[in-house]
Amino acid sequence: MKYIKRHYIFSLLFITFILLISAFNVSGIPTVGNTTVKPAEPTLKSQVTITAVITGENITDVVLYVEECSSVLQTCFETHKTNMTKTDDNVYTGTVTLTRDETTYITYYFDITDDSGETTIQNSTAWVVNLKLDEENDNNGGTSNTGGDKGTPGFEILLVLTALFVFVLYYKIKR
Amino acid sequence: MEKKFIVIPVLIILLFSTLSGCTKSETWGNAPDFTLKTLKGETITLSDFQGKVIILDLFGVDCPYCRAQMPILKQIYENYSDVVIISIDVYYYETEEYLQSFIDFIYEQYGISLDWYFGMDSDGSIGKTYVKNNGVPRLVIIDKKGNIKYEKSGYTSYSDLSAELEKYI
Repeated sequence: MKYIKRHYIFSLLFITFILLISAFNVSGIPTVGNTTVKPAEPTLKSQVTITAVITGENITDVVLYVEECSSVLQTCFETHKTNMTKTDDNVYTGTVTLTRDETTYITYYFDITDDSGETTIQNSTAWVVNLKLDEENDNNGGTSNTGGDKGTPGFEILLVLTALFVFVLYYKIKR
Repeated sequence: MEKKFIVIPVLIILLFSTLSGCTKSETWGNAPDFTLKTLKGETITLSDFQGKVIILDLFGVDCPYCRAQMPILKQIYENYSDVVIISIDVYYYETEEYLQSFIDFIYEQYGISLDWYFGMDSDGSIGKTYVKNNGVPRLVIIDKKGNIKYEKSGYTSYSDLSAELEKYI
């Protein structure tokens, strides 16, 4: 009986120990929660502000990386780097200015440093935001069946009148 | 007699200096030379590969098109054994460990081993010289004499790249 009781206490202690370790680990690893982009659809060469909820123990530094890419050219350009400032509990904000003319979308990610062994976490997941391009750019390479000179009302009438005129002229000459 | 002793050495010196001048101009073309420490710990210099066609692949691990370019380069690596491929990570904030983890990831996920030269442009000088204001991936083909023959930013297909290579092999 005494043995069973001791065994029970040891098991309980062991489970508590495991739970404590896992709880410590979960809170220790910085994680990125909700992120917001302002404006939601940035334009070329505009300022973009990214806000992220980042939770974790003893975060000392959060760096935001924003990469400009072009799906048309299948290439990526400069990566903008800025230190994010803590604006609220677990809320970090950073602003970058886009610089390229060719950009169609941006990706962003975070480098989070905490003071536990100066661990830097490079997020493997990148968030993607499409740019709002003007109509001229939107139509580039697209297909359109509307518009054009031939669609102008009266174009067909002009042809009919010309044919009629030629026919009358021909008829009069023949007579 | 004395004149002969002076003229002959002078002629020999002149001949040697001319020859050395000639070989120097043929040594390396217009591709800016650089030295790179590879992930495997070797130190390589671009001009060491004189006599071989070189593909410089300027890339960044975080660039999706650069990652897509890797299987194409692998095909080139396997089908053109004489071509030297040097992939250089020009993203200044990426680290050697990060690059190595990318290579390991490609092997584990897709079974593709990226066996050619990989290195970091740690001081940004190679990127400044070869990428300039363009995007990545940027492929540069250097001919056997060290001249830049082809430069392109953006994903390049196998057929396009091999057609370009064929011109200089």
